[in-house]
Amino acid sequence: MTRNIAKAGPWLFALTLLWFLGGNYLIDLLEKNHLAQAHRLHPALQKWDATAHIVLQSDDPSRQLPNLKLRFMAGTTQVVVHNTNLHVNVASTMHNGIRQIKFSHVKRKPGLELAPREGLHDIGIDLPLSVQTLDFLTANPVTLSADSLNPLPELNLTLQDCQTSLELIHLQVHQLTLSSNCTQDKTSREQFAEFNLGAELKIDELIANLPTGKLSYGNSETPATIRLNLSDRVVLQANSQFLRSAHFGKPPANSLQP
Amino acid sequence: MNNYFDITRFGRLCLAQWAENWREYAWFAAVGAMINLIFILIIFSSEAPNSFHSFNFEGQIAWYLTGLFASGLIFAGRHFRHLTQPGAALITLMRPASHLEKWLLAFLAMGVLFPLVYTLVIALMNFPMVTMAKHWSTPRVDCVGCTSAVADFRVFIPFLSQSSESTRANPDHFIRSQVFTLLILWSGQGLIASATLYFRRSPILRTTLALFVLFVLILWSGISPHRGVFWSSGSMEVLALRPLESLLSLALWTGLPVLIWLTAFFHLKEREVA
Repeated sequence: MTRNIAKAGPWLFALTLLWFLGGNYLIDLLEKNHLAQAHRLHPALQKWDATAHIVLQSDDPSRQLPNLKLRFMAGTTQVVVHNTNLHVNVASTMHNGIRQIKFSHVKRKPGLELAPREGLHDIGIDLPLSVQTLDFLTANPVTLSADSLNPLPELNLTLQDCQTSLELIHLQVHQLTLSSNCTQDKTSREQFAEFNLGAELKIDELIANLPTGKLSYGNSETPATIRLNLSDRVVLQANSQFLRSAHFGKPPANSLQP
Repeated sequence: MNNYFDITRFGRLCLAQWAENWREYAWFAAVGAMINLIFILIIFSSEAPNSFHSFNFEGQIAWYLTGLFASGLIFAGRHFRHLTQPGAALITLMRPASHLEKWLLAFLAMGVLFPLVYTLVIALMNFPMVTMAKHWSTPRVDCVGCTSAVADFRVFIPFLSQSSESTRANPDHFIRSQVFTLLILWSGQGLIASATLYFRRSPILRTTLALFVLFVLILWSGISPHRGVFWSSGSMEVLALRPLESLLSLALWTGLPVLIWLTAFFHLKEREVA
């Protein structure tokens, strides 16, 4: 009996190994099922009728959203949102002919926060070519592009807060108007309203009305007409040809006074 | 008087253990303190005169845990070292104490007294260095997202210190992480002690080899550890743990050191019988 009990050691070790591997395997299985169920219930694809004016808004600008990737698609008549992030809900309302798309953070246990950008997937938004005005109150990076070089007749982009940065690439527009309602100065390393005009852009007329913020033009092709209504507090980055071609007008009425 | 456990007999066993090993313990503590001091001086001089980030609260936690695991596992391997020599092994095994008492002594020495003494030594050594670092460090001027310009230079004492700036939003998680660390330490020490008891010849080498094989086996299985209730990160963070998941993870991680130490108990019995 004593010898049998004493030999229990190796068997207990084997049981411990089984306990460890089996337990982790079971937990993994349960978590995967739980997550799969959550994904099944989460609407990853949402569609709404498009209007010419769309407002994109976050419910809590102090919390980071995933990156927004907006894309003009020929042949579509609806706004299509692709969102696989379980902790972000997207909803839409229509008011006075303006479609509002609202991003809200799912309520979690108090104090339980994701690290910035941890586990975030980009939210893709497909827009029809009929959209002419986009307002942003999202407080995070946004990229705007087009799937083809069908030129948009007119595009008005307005940053409503001081934390959204908008990058434009692969886009063809006759008249592009950039505006900002941010009136705060950049302090230390806080973000501020920023337009970044990148590669593969073809713009015939560029108009910018910025009280503060940053405008960066990185494309090799310069627009035929450039009208910049910038205050002294705006940071402008462009090549010399762009700067020579630009006409500088009066700063917008909501610029900060020194 | 109980065959399995007698408090008087256990007390005499503890005294005998102390009488035979106090020099070993003192040398172990002295060597550990010396190594700690050397590292402190090197890091202090390399980080002066600016951030001293290794001496802030989070830096101390990282250093504390590294030292605790490294020295704790070595200490665990040394507890049954007498069993490698035939003469000394006989004396150790023939001591007038039950298996349970010898096993309990091992657990108390490794799992309770060692972490306490280690914490005391580290805290005493850290206090003057952290005070100096706090006095000499420059405020953080370009720290994005920091809630204060001054770094957190409190001395870290496990289970007593409040959570750090970055984890203040979730103090519950801070405590749970420390509990988890303790459970893993106990599991590691139990594993080392168990292997030392099981392997009669070249226990250190065979223990190292066995742990390596175990590690490869776990990697090969493709099963990754899930901390469950002891963690709050990753995709599961958006979903609250279900009761079954919480219970399973609690049972897994508390049961692990229990089973390992139970294995050590039976290995000790086997050595005596043999």
